[in-house]
Amino acid sequence: MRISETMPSQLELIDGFISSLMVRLFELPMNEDIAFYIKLALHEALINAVKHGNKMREHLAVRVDITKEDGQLTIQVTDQGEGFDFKNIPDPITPENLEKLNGRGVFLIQNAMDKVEFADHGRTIKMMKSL
Amino acid sequence: MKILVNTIDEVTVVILDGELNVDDSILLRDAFLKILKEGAKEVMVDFEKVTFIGSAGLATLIEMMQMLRKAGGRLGCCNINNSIRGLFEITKIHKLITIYENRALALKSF
Repeated sequence: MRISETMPSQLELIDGFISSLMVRLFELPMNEDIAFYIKLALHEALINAVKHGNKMREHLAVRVDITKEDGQLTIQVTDQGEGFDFKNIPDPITPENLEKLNGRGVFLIQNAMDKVEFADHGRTIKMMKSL
Repeated sequence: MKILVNTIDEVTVVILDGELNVDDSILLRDAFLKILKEGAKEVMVDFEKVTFIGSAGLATLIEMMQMLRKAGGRLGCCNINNSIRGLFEITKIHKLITIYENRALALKSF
């Protein structure tokens, strides 16, 4: 399987975009739990790309590349922003951060997927999960 | 997402049906602000028909908890499925918002 799609940086388009990707991903053998976590990872990566990466500039695109090879699903989300310091992401579960309204996205992705890598100064997040 | 609001024994029960994603988190926030304005203090969110929640939904719940706490009230959640309960636990939100097994138990303790 190989999927490549792009979307403009509009938060209100994210839910529909994810639904259209999930319809295609449901062709793969996966249980409800795995589908939940893949959807969660996509949701968080797209919000980060639109909101923090491209800073809601609608003319900038977010690209999603999905491949499935040898039982492993790889999802890559790339924005066109300035990048970010992915080595210094605050821990959202420390007492001082627990009630903050933002900052859980990468943490949720890391818990939802088996392996997460950043590239191109944080503009690309690569998320992998065994099916 | 469908949002139904009932009042049972002075507890405002917010019944959600659907996914708590980006757009629907805004709908929930709007519905909550309305019931807060009407004087609700004890609020229970019923997750029985919720199939998905992301960081936007979690943030909305934290904000609701904070606003209720400021107003002298409290927020609880019930009927949460295992996947969503898992997210509450890894993010430690279950330490901020009390989770009840079902609505009857929740209403009894409120």
